[in-house]
Amino acid sequence: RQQYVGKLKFASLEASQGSKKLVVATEKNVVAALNSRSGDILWRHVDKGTPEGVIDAMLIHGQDAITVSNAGRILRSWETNIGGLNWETSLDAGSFQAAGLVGLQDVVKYVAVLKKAALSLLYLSNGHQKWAEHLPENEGMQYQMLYSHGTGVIHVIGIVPQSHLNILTFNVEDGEITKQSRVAAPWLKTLNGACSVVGEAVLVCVDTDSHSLYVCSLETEQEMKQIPLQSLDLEFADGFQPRILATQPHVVGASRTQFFLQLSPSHFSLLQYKHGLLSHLRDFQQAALVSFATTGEKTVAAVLTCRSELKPGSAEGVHVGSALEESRKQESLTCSNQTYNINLYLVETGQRLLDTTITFTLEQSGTKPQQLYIQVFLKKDDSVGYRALVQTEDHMLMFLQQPGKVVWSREESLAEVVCLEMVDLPLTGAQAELEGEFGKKADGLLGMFLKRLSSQLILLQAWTAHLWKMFYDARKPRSQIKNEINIDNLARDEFNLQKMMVMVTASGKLFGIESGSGTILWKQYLRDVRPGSSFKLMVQRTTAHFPHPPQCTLLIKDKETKTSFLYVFNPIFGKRSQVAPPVLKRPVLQTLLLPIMDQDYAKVLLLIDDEYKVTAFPATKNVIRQLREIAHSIFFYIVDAELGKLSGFRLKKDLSTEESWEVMIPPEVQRIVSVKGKRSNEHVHSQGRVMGDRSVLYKSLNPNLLAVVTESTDTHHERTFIGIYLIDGVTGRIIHSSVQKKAKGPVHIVHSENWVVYQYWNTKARRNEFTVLELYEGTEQYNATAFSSLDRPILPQVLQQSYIFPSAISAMEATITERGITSRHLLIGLPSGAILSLPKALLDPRRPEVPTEQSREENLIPYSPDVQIHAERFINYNQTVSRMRGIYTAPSGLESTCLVVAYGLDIYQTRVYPSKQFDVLKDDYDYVLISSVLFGLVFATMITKRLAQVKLLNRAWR
Amino acid sequence: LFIMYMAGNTISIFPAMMVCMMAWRPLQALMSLSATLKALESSSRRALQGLVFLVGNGLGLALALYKCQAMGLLPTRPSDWLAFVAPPQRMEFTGGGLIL
Repeated sequence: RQQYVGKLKFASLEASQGSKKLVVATEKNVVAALNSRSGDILWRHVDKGTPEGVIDAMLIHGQDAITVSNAGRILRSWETNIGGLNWETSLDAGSFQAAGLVGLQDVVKYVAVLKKAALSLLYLSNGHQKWAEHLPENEGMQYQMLYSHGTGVIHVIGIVPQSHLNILTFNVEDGEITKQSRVAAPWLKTLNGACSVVGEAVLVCVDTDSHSLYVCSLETEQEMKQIPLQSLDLEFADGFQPRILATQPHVVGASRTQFFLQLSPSHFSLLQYKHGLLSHLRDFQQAALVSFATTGEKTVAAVLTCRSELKPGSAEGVHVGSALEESRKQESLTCSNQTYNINLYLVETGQRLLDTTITFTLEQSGTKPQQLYIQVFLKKDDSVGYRALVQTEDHMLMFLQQPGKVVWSREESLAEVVCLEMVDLPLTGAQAELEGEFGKKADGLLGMFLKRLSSQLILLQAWTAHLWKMFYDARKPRSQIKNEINIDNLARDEFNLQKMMVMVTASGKLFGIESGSGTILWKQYLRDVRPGSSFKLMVQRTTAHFPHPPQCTLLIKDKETKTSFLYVFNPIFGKRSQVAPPVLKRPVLQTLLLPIMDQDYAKVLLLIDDEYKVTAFPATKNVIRQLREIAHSIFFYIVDAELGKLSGFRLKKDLSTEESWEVMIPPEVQRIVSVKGKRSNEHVHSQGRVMGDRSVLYKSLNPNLLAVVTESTDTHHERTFIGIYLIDGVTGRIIHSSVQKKAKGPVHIVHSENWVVYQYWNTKARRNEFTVLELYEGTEQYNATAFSSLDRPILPQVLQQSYIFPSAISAMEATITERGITSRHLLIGLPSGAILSLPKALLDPRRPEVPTEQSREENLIPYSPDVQIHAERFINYNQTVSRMRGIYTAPSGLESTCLVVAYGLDIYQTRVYPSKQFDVLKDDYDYVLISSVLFGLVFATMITKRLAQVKLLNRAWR
Repeated sequence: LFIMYMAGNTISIFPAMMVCMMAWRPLQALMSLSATLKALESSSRRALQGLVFLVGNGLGLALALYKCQAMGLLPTRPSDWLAFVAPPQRMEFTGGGLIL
């Protein structure tokens, strides 16, 4: 199991050298503390994944972390050392605007929460409300900012866009409005970003149109003072909304008078506004990120810049010079050589602090830093030391120490795995040699014999080397022997139990993870993937075809621009493959991986675009020829959930398609939520079930069957329903349809073999229910040798039963094994994070209500409506998987064993044995006893044989 | 025979052993047919006696087989061959799903 927190939204580092914590709140609605030495999670709290759990703000004061979540409704205070909840209060509804700590006479006592129409002040220690005041309403007035600096008043700044500002001053003690002033600001649209408070409650705003800063004191002045920026030689970039970044080192103290003005995405300048004068301290061009940090009396600004190749000889001023060069060379922020510098500058003067450069290189091409947090501390000699937390675009967290050492890094994009495949590991060199021998062409008897001898020799060599290593390792203490897994010694184990998990995350980063230990062996960031793209991962060639490298293909489709492209890579090493994927001109609607292979053993991938034309990949002549031959047997189905249309297409010889069927499901009444086909790698060993009277009930194993789930658009609990349609994907024939009244989604569905299991919420009885459908052909098989959807005169019999399940579920999947002999289990992810392994035999529609002789002969369990959750059926014990989104199953080399990966916020991998380990000797199998008995018996036979001979001889003499 | 009847059609160790014995005895007797015939050499109606012996043993064997059948030990039903039925070959390939 590996635990993740997700992409950072807020982070806070403690400003002392000895501190080990790092409190973060993330976009995954998680509040957590990380150990800053190792990057491990100290504690973690996972809120709801829905918008109700969204964390709006986080404030840190001492040992308390205050979070505001659910659009300002819930205020929680956490104890940061152990992660306990100090208190929790709920606030009135109203859209959340800002939160801030309020102090009075050097003590921080209150939390102020600004809502759209109200300001409330709560005690920091226990969460009780001190007062809540309604803000004077005005048409178009939006209160957006909150400021206090320990003088006993709170300033609330509201804005009427393009008209004026309203500044309210509240007394902390009783919430009385002591002052209300109106400042005209016709140029201002919003406060967020454009304005900030510096110094002793001085509001500074920036205006692009007039190229000037506006300054206004919150306490005294009634008018905004305009300061043109031309006097400072500062120019705004076109089309960029400038931002002001200021810092308030301590809640009870005033803000710093210095602030950053962001002029363009990569241009910052440090300005100072003091005693009514604006001065320019330093200019930072080509800076990616800036951040303030304070320790004691010193406040420093950290600037992250890109570093390009240094020119020899220009030692002094390297930083600025190179940055200037860089800005001329490229407009975007991405660095050519992925090396970045972090420098510290003293804010008072803008001077660079010596020996404070961190240089680090990002290993992934095309990523850029997104967020920067600095932890500054004073060293013993009063110089400033610091550590930096950098989050890059691919959601990787890096914790850096001087000088440029990466203390730890976390791959937080793994908190959002989108799709996942498991690929066999490659064979070892010796095994591959052996395989290769059989793969080569035969060249005479003697040659073959010699080759065999040589490969056996190699095997012997490998074996002796292995023995020698074992002997060598045995002398070392046990703790030192650690099976380090790296990309070089990757090899398949005897039973193929360890595989490579190829994970695609929502941020567009690909990972190759070794399933046995969970070590990340490779990662690859796809730069041009925008958030919200849809992915489809396919394994085109497995590792079984030795000289050819395995090949995976990822189809990425952008949701907005509808463009799609293919990314072909080697799943073992993560390298981009040499094979050039076809350029996709039209948006791809769907894909189909055919079992036919080209001469390089790569399976053929067909892509159907929005003009219903088909592109084949790889598109060699051989493939096209094969495709022509079998074109009549290739069909597509495309489901358009918006129009409620299911349509089937037939492939023609010239790789165009024609529509063969269409099913409309009126989208006004019900909408399609999911379509499930069967897994292509699924084997079913048994073609039927033996009945009590020894006849056979044949399963209806239609590989083209689709299960379509619809939900009603009407969500009233009396009228809501879900619909299940079983549709043949080739002919469009509706084999079964049922409507479950008074049932509500979300529906989880598993479709495998000849059964479909789905789960829904019964609104009438207010409980979760399972329904299982099984399809049987009857006691006679129509055509035992070939299955064709076009030739099926008889509809299968559908058996159905429902069960009550005591819990909601978050994910569901069926186990799968190599040959399909092992009985199937359903793996059910519960919201508690546990994974329940439920035997499919419990969800069998043939369970009789009244057990008879025959049903007992069949081992059918008498029907009981409720399925219980037994804690011993949890396969992950206490290793809960938070917010599980999916379960992936893959067969292993052993028939009894199925590999399971559950993913969500955490990733958990294990093996399950649905029918126990029938093909493996038990752990307690007594090898010594058995072999000694065997040897003893052989020995005894030999002795008795000899004795008998002697006896015979003696008798003959007599 | 009565014991056989009493033993019923359930499969457990004792009836199974008994059925085995029942089948094995006539088989053994048939194996030693030549020896029996030799013993009957003195008799005048050797052929008839031999035939009766043969028929008798054959009957015993048939009875044992019937018993086996009744106990369900003979693989005569399709369900007994189910594990060897090959999965039907699929004729069409389909693929697709919700629009990406």
